[in-house]
Amino acid sequence: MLRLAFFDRSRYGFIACSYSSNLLLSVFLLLVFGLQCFSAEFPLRTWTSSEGVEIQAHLISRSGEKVIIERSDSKQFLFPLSILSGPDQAYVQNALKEQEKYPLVTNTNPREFVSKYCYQCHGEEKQKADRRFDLLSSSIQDFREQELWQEIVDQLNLGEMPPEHVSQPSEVERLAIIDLITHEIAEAREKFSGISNHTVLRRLNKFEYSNTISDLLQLNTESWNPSADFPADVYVDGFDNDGAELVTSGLLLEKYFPAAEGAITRATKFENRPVSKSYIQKSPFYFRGKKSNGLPKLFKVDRYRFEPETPYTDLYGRFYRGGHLGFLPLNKAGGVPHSGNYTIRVKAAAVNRLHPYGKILGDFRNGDPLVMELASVDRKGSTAGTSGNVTKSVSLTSFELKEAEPEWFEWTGYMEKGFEPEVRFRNGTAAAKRLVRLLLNKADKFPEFQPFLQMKSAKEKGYERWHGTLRAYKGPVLRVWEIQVDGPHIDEWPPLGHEALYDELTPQDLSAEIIEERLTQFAKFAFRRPPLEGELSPILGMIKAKLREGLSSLESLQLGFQTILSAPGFLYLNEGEGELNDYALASRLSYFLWSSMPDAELFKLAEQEKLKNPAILTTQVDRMLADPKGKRFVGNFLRVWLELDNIGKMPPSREFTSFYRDNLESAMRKETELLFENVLKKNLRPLELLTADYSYINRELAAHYGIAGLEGNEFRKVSLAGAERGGILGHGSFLTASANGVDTSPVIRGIYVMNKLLDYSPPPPPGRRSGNRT
Amino acid sequence: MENYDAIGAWRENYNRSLKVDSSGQMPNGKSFSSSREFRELVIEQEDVFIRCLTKKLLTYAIGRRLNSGDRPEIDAIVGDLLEEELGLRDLVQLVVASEIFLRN
Repeated sequence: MLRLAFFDRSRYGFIACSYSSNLLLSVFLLLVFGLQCFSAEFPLRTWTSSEGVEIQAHLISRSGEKVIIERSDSKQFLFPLSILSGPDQAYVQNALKEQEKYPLVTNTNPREFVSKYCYQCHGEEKQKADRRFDLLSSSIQDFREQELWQEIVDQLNLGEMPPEHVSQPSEVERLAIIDLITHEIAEAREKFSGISNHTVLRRLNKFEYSNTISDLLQLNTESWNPSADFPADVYVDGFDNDGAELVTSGLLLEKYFPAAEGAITRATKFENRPVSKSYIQKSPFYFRGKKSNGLPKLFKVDRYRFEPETPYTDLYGRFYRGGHLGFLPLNKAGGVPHSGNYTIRVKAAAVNRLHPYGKILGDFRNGDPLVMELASVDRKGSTAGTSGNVTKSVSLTSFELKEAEPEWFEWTGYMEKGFEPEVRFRNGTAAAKRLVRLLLNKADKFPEFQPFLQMKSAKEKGYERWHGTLRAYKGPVLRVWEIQVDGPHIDEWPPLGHEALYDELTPQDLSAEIIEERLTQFAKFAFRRPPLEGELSPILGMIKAKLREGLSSLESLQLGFQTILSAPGFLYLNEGEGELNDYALASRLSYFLWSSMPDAELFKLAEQEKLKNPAILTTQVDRMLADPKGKRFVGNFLRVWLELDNIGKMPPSREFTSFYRDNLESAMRKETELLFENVLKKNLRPLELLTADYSYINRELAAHYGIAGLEGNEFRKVSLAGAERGGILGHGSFLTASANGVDTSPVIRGIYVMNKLLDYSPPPPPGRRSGNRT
Repeated sequence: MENYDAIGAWRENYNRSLKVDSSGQMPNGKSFSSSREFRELVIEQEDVFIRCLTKKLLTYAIGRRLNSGDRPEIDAIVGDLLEEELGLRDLVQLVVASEIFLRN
């Protein structure tokens, strides 16, 4: 028997169906592509099933023997053509023909689009930034045109062009045109390069670029990510390291130089060894009157922040207001004076973890530990009158607090110059503003709030309505007595990155010869091989000219370093053709397993031409996997293989509160990484990835999976024997990456499994050909 | 797979009333009636899975799409791995030792 089932698409699945017969994956493969196409508008009409049931809906699309229609309330239904009445079937047949006549994508072509939106500034009359598009041929003729189109597509992807003050394409138009241009570029590229067994000159992708800068100059690129504003790399079937797709646009070139400059500036440390200092702030953390003059709002008393009579300050909310504490000594100092390792200590306690307010406190699980997060924030530009918001924020660590008596919590790690610490109530029950409103709404049930209900919202009463409510509140609060910061802790001075650049030279030592020698030496590491004959001549020539023009020797040398970091030798993996030479092999190996440049040991082996020795190669692979950097292979390979970025791209709807409250995204990734790591480390059969009857989970993931009795936020191995889960097919990461954030589709999951695990590449969708590569 | 919602939680019903139907059929014709059976059918195809993983690793390692010319090497890696029941780290070693990796 055939059963037609339908669901609200916002909640349960935009297509769902069940038949007495089984779902044929192959049929569904077709179907999903139908869904991806832009739906042409079909009129509302009455549909009749062969059993006589009627429904008013629009035709959406048809694939093979299946039809999708949509009711005016946006509910979609899918069913086999055969259950429709004869006239309905005929209607679908005709509609399909119409559909073929008119392409589903917008009618504009890239050239019309560019003429409409870009010629104004990049046409016959004006050529802003020296870009002129009106002379582009009707199809991509040469490499130069290909680069121009790449720039256009980069700008469209970034949403930076057309600029705000001129007319804008619609989102659909923009996406469609990006797709068309991308496709056209891909075709052109194939035409120009041909298909070959060689990896073309491969540019470092964003991840590799950052890691390389980090390893070359010993910089912490988590706080300062040099590639943060590079345009996104192109993904091919999940992979973002496909040499053929990693072209270099003018836009990217413009970004390379400032990134290189930032890296060299950060690594240069001619100053004296910094002196370690201690900073202390005891409660209060909020100030009023004169004391608060000139401070960012975070430090000022307002509705949700008051100066307590107690030796501690309570945090009530989840967010900035009433949920975060700043650290005044370092705010006044403009952040930590040097980049380096600091120790942060906080004396704090978790009070009222059990509360009487029931559902008022939203998704807070009664009795949970309170989570205190330490963050490092850049508050530049946040002065009196501004919100106190931060321009950059890095989460440093989190502690779980269970005790109501104060304890010290300590963390040591890297903080970037100019950043200051912030203490946050990570799992606060709600924003303090909302909390006060909810509590006052329930003042009939909780008489402690009665006195504040009638108070006016006048400022002169000292915000008593809010402060009083918060003081009377008996729910979970994160109580903080004192914050201390010590640092920087310095083991080595000057730092290794500085030595890589200047060895032990002082600025006074820099003669023209020494500059040339330093540049040559640096280029060897930056290029991951000895520079080729004459490869550095243009750079050395330019630096000589700069010196003659009167640029100081230090600035000239730094300019040289920056130029090296912007040179093809640094930016590209040039692997030549045929058998790799030792240096190319060292690089291929290290970018495979470390997503970064070779270390000293690999370099040495390459220099000695020993790396191709099979025994040595095997030893090196084992060493590299065991190295802490080997985690990059696990994390990054899983990320591209299973397209785990999908999770962030299509974040689950807000209805899945636990997903956000419990930080499930990172927990899910971690689960899969730990399983992969285990199989790799113990050298188990790869099939273990699918068959494992155990997993690595924490309390939150256990709750999500319905596994009872797990305490604590840390991950541990848990047996799943006899349970449904086990292997990555049951991992949250896998299941979320194969859904779209709102609901699931058997089709999309099916294709995902086929593509990721069973060696099946989906054919390009009809009407779009192979252009869709993002 | 339909037994798992969009963030991977287990479900028997979509909305309290409608029972999840997690049955279906694989492209190789075998049918399944539950998530567990589906998983079994995927696991059964060890050779296909190993081939898939090998190709993903190679693609990741060398930064280009594989093509028909790479087929013999891939066959060799998959063959070795299955015959000798090798582990994941062995697979990484085989990838590195392959002509695809050592040549460009």
